[in-house]
Amino acid sequence: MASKSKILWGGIALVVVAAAVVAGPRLMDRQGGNKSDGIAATAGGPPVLRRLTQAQYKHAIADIFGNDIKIGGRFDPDIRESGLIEVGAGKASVPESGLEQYGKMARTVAAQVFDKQHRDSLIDCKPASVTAPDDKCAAQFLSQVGRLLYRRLPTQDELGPLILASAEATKIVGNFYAGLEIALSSMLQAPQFLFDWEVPQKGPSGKTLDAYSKAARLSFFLWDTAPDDELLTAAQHGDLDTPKGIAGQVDRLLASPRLETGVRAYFADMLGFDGFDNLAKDPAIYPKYSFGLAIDAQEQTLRTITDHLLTRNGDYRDLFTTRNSFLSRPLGAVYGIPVPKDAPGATPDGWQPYVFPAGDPRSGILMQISFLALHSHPGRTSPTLRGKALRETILCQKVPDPPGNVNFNLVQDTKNPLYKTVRQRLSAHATAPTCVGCHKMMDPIGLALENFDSIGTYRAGENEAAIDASGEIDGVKFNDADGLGKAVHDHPATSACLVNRLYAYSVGRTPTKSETEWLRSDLMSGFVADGYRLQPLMRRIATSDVFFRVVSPDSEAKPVRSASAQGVGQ
Amino acid sequence: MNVAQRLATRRNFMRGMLAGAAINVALPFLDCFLNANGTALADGAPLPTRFGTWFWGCGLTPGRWEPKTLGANYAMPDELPMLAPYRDQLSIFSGFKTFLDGNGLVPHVSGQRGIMTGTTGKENDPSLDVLIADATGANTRFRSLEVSAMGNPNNTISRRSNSVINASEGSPAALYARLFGPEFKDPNAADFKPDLRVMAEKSVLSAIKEPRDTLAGQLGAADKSRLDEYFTSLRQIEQQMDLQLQKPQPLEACSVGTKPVEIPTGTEVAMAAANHKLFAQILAHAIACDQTRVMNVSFSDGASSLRRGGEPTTQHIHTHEDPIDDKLGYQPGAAWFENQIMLSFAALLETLKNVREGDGTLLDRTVVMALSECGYAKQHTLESIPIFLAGGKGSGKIKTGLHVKGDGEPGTRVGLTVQQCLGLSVNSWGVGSMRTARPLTELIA
Amino acid sequence: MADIVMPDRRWRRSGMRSPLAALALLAAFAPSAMAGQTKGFVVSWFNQAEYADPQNRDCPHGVNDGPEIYYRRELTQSGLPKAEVDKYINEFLDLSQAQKTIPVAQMRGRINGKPADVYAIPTSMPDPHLKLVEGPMGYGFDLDGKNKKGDFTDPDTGEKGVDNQLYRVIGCINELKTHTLTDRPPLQLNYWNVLYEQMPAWLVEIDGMTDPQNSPDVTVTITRAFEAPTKDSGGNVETNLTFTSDPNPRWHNVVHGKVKDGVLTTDDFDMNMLGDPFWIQEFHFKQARMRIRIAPDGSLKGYVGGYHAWFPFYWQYGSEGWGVDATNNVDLPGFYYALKNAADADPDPKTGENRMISSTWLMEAVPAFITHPTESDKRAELTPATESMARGK
Repeated sequence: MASKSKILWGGIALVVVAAAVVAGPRLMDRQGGNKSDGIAATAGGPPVLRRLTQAQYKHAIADIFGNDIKIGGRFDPDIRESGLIEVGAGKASVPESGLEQYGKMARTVAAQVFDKQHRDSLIDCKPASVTAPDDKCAAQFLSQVGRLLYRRLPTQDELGPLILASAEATKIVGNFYAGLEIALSSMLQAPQFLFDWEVPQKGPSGKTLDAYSKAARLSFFLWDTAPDDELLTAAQHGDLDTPKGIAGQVDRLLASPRLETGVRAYFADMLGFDGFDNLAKDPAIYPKYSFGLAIDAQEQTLRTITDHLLTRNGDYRDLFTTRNSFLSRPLGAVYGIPVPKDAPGATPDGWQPYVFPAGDPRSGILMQISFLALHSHPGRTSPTLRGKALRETILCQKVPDPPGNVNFNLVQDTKNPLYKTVRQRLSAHATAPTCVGCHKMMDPIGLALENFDSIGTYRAGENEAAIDASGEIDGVKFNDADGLGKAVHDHPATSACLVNRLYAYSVGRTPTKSETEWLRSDLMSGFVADGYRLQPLMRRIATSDVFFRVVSPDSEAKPVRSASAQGVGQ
Repeated sequence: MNVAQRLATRRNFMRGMLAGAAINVALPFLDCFLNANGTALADGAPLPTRFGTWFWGCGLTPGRWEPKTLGANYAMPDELPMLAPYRDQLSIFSGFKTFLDGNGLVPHVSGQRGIMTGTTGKENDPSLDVLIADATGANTRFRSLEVSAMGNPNNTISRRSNSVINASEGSPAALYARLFGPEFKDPNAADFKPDLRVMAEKSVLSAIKEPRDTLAGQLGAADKSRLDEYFTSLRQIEQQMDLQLQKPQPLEACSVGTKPVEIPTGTEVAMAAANHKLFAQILAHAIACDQTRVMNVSFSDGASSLRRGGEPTTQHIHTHEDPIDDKLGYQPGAAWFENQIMLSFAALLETLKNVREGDGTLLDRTVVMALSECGYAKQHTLESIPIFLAGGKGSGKIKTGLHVKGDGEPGTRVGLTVQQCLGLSVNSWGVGSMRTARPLTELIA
Repeated sequence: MADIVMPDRRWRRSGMRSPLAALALLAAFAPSAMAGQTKGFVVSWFNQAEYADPQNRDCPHGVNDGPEIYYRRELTQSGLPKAEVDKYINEFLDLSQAQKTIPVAQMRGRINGKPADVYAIPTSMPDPHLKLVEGPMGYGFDLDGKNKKGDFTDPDTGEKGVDNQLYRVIGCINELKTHTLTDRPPLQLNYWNVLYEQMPAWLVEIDGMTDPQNSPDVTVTITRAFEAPTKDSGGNVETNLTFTSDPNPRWHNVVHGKVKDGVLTTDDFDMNMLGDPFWIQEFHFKQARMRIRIAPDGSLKGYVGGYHAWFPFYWQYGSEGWGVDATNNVDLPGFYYALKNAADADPDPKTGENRMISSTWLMEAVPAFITHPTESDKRAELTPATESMARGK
């Protein structure tokens, strides 16, 4: 099958990304085959220059200088591309205003590193005189911290000017520590810190990343932070030049509790949780919504995911049908579920496990507040937005943007006596030939979730009319949300999308053509063989030869265009 | 030139600079340092943007102060005719509230505290003006100035923490003496000392440019151009620092004014208004002379003890006890006070507008956030607490003259917007339900 | 795992998956669906029920004076020379000086010619005879079974012989009275807003309600929660939150009742509830009874009547002294005398003076989940009854 195909649907071309249309049976034939011909054909992709995401910046500072270091600061917004911030990071640059903010954050961080509380524990050496330069001590500190910040041993070209400048600063301000603090602050603004800097090297079988770049790629992928000392040491000693050495480090990273941070970061990115920062609800209609509730809603979904995928080592597809979840007291008030503080498994942080009973209309992460509220309007639901989000974030399919000059009056009038339910309003709206094609892709999915209002509260009816929650996705019909969950579970694009997107996340760019071939054959069949389990999939990616293979930056191997998550009107 | 040679050149250059610094760097040297041609100071060094808060207690009458339309060119609402002359630089924020997240209501305090500090009650965070003063006022003589029109030092909404409260000056004469007494140094006088720390930072920052070529060599064309963008930004930051190291442009609007005559202070509205007028004039001189860039004016206390001359009942009691007039539909007694208070607010804006500065007025470069502490004083509600932003039209940093509706969202959205407009490094602000990462983008210039 | 009491809601979460079933429920409230269910509520308002008479018959002589008037009168009465009284009143009116005048106001009583603290010993001053409610209408119940002269008639039910002497005392004091039929009394609202979200909630459970319109045999249980209520983004009490009922038997009130035409009424019972030191520390009603309407949205609104010791009602404000007496228009010694004189039950065997006063309280509540801790949680009874809280006013 072609890597990109067009399906004609109501006159509108639905662009479907390669991984999403992988056919099941053919994969099954190749199950378990980690075939070398696949790898040989896979040249890898270009190295990336990724601007650290906000979370990665924060994690790195906390790991290097301690959890109690405050960052404050405003980051330039992360960019989302092809469905991921982690891919957008490879396109982001640093404008003047952004660098100004990095400068302010750098000064804030450096000032804390050098305050009385931290200085002695973070700086190994003592200067001969506090009021004069001490190049030896400065060099020791700057090379130690530079290795952690730049994620490789700083070169003489990098370190020399800094030591010198630090001495000069010491003379100007009359204090060794103040001078060194200014030097640290300037390192924190350096491109080597702000960007994840991938450097290619020649290997025995073509170009690969150099050892330090490998370390960073592994660490950002699995832990969402800069490499720790042990990983940098492994890079320095050549351990990451052998498959065995890589496997050892990957297993160490996977076995660590910090894997949960990495998994949470991936799913928060994939599910677009940064959108909550810009989400508002009309308090007259939804008084239970507040930023506090939004935080709990995201936490519920991330807990459900890590519990299912890591703690229980569950099948990824079951996330869309599982009845296991977690609740806090404010969430209970929206779900209409009691949250007794003495419930089994309740923890002092206010969370407790909860299993939605059979017969309850809610199952799977699509029926949690995080998905339902994020993809709704402030004062009403939107089957269109929900359907679009499901296509783009869960199935990796691109839905075209709506045409201009659309009259939305009909769908927006929730009190129209002629059209009591959203289904009625939408079908009256989406009759125009230019609209019907796209709406057909989205609405029948989203309408299945109409029993959940704009913040996810259950409702049986709307304007005293009953809600018909039946729908259809790619030929599979269902009667309600539960059926939608099962259909998503069984949809071949669901698991293929995870494979594709997780790989894109791990390398910080969309897969190249040759990688895509490898993803949908070798990696996909491995995922199937592993029972659709996440940790083995992460291990397969991280230990594969393909993962570190690179082509020349300006070679022909351009990434495949993929779904982007841009806004859509309705 | 190899690395060693570059370093040597650089070292000599820096040595020269240090020699200058050691003898209290003189202007010609700095010019040399900053500008190879030795030309005059660059034009266009921006005049500072100032920030002020203006607080009054017991709110306004719901329904009478909110414009009927959103955005620009709103019709002046019933309760604010005196502010009509400033409409093009007066933004009105309705529907913004304070959340307490289960912390108890402290009547007449909680409402403003949430908006000023982004907290829900327990936390220790500083108020908005302190954040702004820390970021913008580091080089001025006074980080901020606080005054109370009623003469009560406890009337203040500025705090560094729960326990460190910035008390107000109650006497205009005392404020004048503090500002323009013997310690006052005329900013237009000849001597100028550059900030050594900025000088040091600038020199160190340039050290990260050294490996540029090596770094760029490893990149593809697209990434190389992104790296170029980074270095362009770095150059711009250095230019910003250059400006900081120059002697600022003369402050043509700076004059010391006349020493005010002491007048009685107290709870009568007329007394508060008279003192407020004096304070406004002194503060205008203070910011024109760049003695401070942040001011906090408390017109009245939260549970307002303002009263009409000769009458015992305070505004606070009026708000609680006045019946709602059947015909008018509001409490006329309470509304009288609200009118008086807004007249004083208009007087402050007029004072700032009357001082010319550069091609505009002081008001054009001052953002004043006026706020109260409740939406409906009769019931101590925290919904739709009145917030205004006045001035700043000529600062190029903020858009003015809009009515923005909050629909029950936290009032911290206004504070976050102001911080970002004034260039503070912050992308979210507040805790719990007061947290927001959503500035009001319509205001961002 | 706890027993869980469900909130009263029209649309149940489960059993509604077919459109047809949903429609059936939309068309009419299905009584059978509710059989055997206990409904849970959290109290969102509890304060004195007052009737602001639209015909202004409640306070025909106007409301009671403000402090500048009663201070002048009472200080003059105490024997202070006019010049000193004038000076005092002038200082008092200038609020920037007013703090200085606290001792004078506080010590305006006289015992053997010496100044005495009128807040601690209100009888050190003669009774200033506050103006009382004189109107014919007042909310509540005929508690003593007698239609006496001066008893009120309930505006909602038309019941005569209503005993509500607490309303008689507070109904003409500006800061304690309601000014319209729907508003809240200012000072009580002030206290409630401060307590709100801090004081452990009061919980109401109604058991055996087969039909919200008519259920002949229900059990009402009123207990206290461990958690305080919270407000939502609209500023109202959050509905459907989970509360843990305190198993302490002291705050466990059970009474039989019935629902007729959507109104719940109960038999007589003794109602004991923990309040708050800032408000009324503890409530102990005798011969209490309830009349509560169950609204279509599942909330409750109605009245609780009963006799209660009158002294705590004085001490709520008396303990605050000058703050209330000078800024809230409550002439505290006058308030003390008025309560004492209006008391109408429980005579002291020695003095014959009544120790209790009839009263009616407006109670509102919204749906909530109520859980009862298991045996292992009985240790919760040992938790201190009230948390100390710092608060302003």
